[in-house]
Amino acid sequence: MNKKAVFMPVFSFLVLILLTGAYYELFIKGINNQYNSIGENQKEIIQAYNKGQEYELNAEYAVRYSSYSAIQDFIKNSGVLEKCNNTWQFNSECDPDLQNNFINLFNLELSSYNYKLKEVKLQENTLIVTLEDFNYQKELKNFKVNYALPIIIKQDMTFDLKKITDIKEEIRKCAEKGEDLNTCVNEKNQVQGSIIQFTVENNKNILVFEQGKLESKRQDFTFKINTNNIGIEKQKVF
Amino acid sequence: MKKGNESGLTIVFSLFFLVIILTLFSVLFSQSALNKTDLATKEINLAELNINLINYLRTPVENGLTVRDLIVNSYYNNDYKKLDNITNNIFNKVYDKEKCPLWDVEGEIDKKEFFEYESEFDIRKYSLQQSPRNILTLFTKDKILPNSYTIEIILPDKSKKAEITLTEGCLNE
Repeated sequence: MNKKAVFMPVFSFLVLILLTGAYYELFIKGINNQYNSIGENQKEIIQAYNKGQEYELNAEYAVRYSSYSAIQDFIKNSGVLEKCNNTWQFNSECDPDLQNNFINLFNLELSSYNYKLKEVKLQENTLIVTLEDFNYQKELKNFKVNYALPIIIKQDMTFDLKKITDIKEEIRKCAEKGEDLNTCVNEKNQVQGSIIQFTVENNKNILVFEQGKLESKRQDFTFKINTNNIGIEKQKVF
Repeated sequence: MKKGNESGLTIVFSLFFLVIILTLFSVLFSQSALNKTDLATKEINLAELNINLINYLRTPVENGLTVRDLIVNSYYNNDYKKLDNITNNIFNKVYDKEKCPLWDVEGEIDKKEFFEYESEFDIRKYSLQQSPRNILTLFTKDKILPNSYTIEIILPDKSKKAEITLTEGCLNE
């Protein structure tokens, strides 16, 4: 064969070997090297942020729905235990320790959404809920992600708990002074024998989830007091 | 055969062989590089999609309610008119029709679809680039890269789970 004619086939063959080698080194053998993991670390940071945002969004709603359910149960049982039959009796297990009773109901509801609580506070009519931080941890070859997002949620109550607490304190004072509970507070009341039933109007709508429907309704707060068994002794005046 | 003819044929075949090798490897290299770039950029696109979806769910509607509340209320009251209007209004503004002609929002509860809204998208105009390994898509002019992101949301009914999925398709420029 002509010497000049040999050049082209040899050159083509060399190009084939060179390109095959380069492809093998870059995309087959080097699939796990550091250059191929470019973007992996950034991906994890983005993933951590996204998951944190989703967690926070759902946590807000878990708090909201739990507060709705807690308010519904709280109104239904007049702020005391179910076995008290809507009747307040101070210094007993039917003591209207309203804030604590509400927080207990709220905690119970929130736990069913699988969120872990750090702290719950009630300021005026706002619930301030601190949940355990959202944590995202991942360890890669040369990179470690440890992302913590504190979750503090403020939820306005659709129910005036402060007003009920003020009424309770007035009743306590009247009972201690031995005054007539009937005229002690300005709220509507009905007397049946020794039982006085008070009705406190709630001017906010509460959201109620019942029988597969979500309804917004106005529900008044009622409670009873047995004047023969208030749980408070009249203060003696010397 | 004459020596000169033989040499000429060898050169022609070699050139033809070289052209085939170069074409084949240029396609292989570009496809593999595309896959690598996709790995890095897809996550960034997904982050933007996630932000769009979260912003959509947090958009205030009225009386302190958000789109997310509206989705829940629409489901329980079986009335989707307002959600339809608001969703179309939001996403038609968020996505430029020319750059991102496809968007789709879908809601599922316990894997059953309860709402779906989408842009007026003519699929005949575009090619959906499902796999960058498909060499044919390299030669299509307007390629759409669909991306989707799903967020799980809780409902007042604790026994049910809802998922909201946003899909967007933007032109691969």
